[in-house]
Amino acid sequence: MEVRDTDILMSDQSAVSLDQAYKLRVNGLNFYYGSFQALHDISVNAEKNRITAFIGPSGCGKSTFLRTLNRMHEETPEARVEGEVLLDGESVFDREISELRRSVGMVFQRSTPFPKSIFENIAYGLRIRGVDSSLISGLVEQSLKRANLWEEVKDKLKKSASGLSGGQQQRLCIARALAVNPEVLLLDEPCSALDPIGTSKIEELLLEIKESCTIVIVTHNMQQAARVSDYTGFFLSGKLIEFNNTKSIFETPSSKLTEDYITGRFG
Amino acid sequence: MIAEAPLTRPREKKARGGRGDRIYHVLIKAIVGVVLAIFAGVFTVVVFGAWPAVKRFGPGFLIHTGWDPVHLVFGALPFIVGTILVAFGAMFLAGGIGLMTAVCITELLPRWLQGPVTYLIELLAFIPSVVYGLFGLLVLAPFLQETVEVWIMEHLGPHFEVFNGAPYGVGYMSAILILAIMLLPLIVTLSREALVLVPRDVREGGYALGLQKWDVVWGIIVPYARNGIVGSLVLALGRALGETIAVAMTIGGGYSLPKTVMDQGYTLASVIANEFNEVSSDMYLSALIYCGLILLVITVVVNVLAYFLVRRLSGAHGFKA
Amino acid sequence: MASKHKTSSRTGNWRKWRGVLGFGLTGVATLISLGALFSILGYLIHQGIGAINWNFIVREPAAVGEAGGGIAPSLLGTLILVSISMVVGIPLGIGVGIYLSEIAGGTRFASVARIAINTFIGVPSIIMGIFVYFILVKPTNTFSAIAGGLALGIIMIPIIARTTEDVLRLVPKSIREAGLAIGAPKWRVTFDLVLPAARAGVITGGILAVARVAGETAPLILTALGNEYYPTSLFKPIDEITLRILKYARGPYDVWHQQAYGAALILVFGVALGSLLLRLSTRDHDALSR
Ligand SMILES: Nc1ncnc2c1ncn2[C@@H]1O[C@H](COP(=O)(O)OP(=O)(O)OP(=O)(O)O)[C@@H](O)[C@H]1O
Ligand SMILES: [Mg+2]
Repeated sequence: MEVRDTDILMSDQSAVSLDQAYKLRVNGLNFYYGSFQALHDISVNAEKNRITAFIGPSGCGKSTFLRTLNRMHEETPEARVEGEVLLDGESVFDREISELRRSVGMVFQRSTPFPKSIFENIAYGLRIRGVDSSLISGLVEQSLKRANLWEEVKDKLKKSASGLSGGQQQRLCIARALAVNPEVLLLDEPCSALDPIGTSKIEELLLEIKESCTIVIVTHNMQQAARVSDYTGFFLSGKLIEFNNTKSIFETPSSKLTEDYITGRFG
Repeated sequence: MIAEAPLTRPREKKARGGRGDRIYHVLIKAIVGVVLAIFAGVFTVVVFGAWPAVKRFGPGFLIHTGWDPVHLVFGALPFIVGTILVAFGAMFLAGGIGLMTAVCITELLPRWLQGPVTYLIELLAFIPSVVYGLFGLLVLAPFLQETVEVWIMEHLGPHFEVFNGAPYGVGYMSAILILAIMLLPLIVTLSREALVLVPRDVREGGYALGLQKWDVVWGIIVPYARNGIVGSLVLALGRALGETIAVAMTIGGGYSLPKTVMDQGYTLASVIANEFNEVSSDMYLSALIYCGLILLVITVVVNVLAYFLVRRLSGAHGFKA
Repeated sequence: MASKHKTSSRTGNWRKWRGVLGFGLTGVATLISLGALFSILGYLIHQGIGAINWNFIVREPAAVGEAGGGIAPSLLGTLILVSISMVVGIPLGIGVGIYLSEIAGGTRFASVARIAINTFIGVPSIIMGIFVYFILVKPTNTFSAIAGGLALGIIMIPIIARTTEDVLRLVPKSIREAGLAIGAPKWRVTFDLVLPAARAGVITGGILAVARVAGETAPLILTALGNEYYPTSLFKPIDEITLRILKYARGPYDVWHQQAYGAALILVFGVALGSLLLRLSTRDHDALSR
């Protein structure tokens, strides 16, 4: 059922050129919460400067999959991983963890502003990185602009971030992730708590930042996947049922299960 | 499936957190180590201090009476009995009144009164022991001496041996009453929390059966909150067994087994507090520490019991004592 | 079932009366509880207010049994002892709280540590007095402020550890994950994000613990001992307010009794102020869990 990289790249290629084409490669990933296996033998790649979306019903393992990409799963004590996750050909498990997470940023379903001011929310990540303090306010402005938030907050940078609207908070979280210049941005249902306007602002934003960033997004919303993503994968009960370019998945799904899901017959 | 996993590698060191995190972990673990070492040290030191007396008197210390610092003959039975009598006497009073107070607050009082009454009773918990002792020694004991105890001696004394004592004022009766007042806030607060946790549908289920309010309260709500209530009682018992200064100030002091409720005596904790600065020999000191060791063992057992009871009620952490 | 509905009016009456009686008893119990509070507080205020004046706060005790004089050395001593106890108790207590909430998780060692903490909260304070007596007073051959402060500090540790663990757990997991996700190391997440978010609760726990040890007497009998003078050295016996109350309460003089009430009133007032702060700040940390 699952689709190997060769199906997409069509010809036989050496590992080196795979690493050039793909920012992230996942090989034979099994994931366990204690004795419960949440992911079964997942192999999939994410292309550089593209948006890769994962869809699937609740509980199918999308978040679990996303969290292994920047090793967020290690915060869950009973979680255990088998298999390979390669970032630029190097296993993420060999990277220093904080440094990995700076390269692979993450935005969560519910916006999670720090209990700090708007300015500090973004400056914090920079300070952690040891960025020179004279550069910080410039970089904060730049990140807020990249996240299309600057105009809305430039007069209240010192105010608490919790005073922002849900959509603004989510863009703040994206700005915060962008501030440290990640190579990959992971988003776990970033719009599920937002209204249509908030959602479309984030979608526009994603299309802008993919110029400089590889994006992996998990979403419940199939229209969203269809609108923004270049590639789409469909998860069901911990298995990657189908992975292909977005157009094919939505127009000519090869699996009956995928077809049932995207036509709304279950899920 | 798990066996054939060629791709998993043992995590290399650098893949874990950076240097800051390693220092942080080492530091915090060192703190935990120090604290656990202190706890272990407390046990060790108490055993060490009690050792001469343990060697000399053995377990017989627990069942012998007699406390003679001059001839170095010691037996802690009167203090053990005193501890149990005072603690359970106070628990009997405070348990009943405290539980009923908690029921009154949660089930009878209007909502706007619940908060203030709870707060006032919690305030009692903030009064230091020595202040209860002061009140017991200077107000309650003289009052009992002049009124209640005289009456008891005259009217009940001739008929019941336990009431046939002299009205000293300070003594078991004062100590029990003062300790009961001290335990009230703890019992009220914790049982109230247990009662408040009873889910709405349990209450409403009772009314739906057409039961009277009191039957719902007494037949459904209180039994439902049973674990929490028992937990609060056991925690209070732990406190009662270990209370030192308030009891030391009101129990009068005495080395023999009590015969009447008005006798004077000691509990394990209060004998240490009152006699410690009077010790005339190392063996005397050691006998006092032996009392401390017995107290430590008793309270640890009671508190571990309370911990598991309370945890069963409210998840991993228990609630505040 | 059906027969239940046919209860005769007599049993119905009894049921009604039983309710009235039952609730009546709970009402009486509540009045007793509140009565105990008001009689103690009332008596304290009534007797103590007369003893409190400026001299009472700034003077040393007068000669035995004589009128006048104050409790200044005890107040100062209390301040010193509580400060020492905070130096010991706060870092160790918060450290253990951080360990239990942020590092240990559900490991077996953590549950042992947790049981140890909860058990030690219930160990009578006089036992800590015995401990410090043997490790500090006996070896140095003198009762001292350091010994008293250490005993109080040890009493504080488990109280602070538990409240810290509890309030840190109230901080949403998402804040920690968000911090880790931008590459913050764990220690920075703890100190920059989690602790500040739980600040109100941690402070509350600290106040609770300080209020608790400020009222401790028993361990000080074995460690600080008390005396009549201003403290001059941390390595000498030191007076403390509860020791002073104990001494005056037990003395034979009416002046002493009055001053004992005065000192007790000051102590209760101080501690109640702590409780008030506690109540105000717990409001904040309730809001935090949302
Ligand atoms: N910490 C955990 N411990 C045990 N099982 C877990 C844990 N987290 C998730 N699971 C289980 O793993 C499976 C996958 O969960 P996951 O959160 O990845 O689903 P999801 O696809 O993101 O769902 P949703 O769309 O609802 O967010 C589920 O069956 C879930 O119950
Ligand atoms: Mg999810």
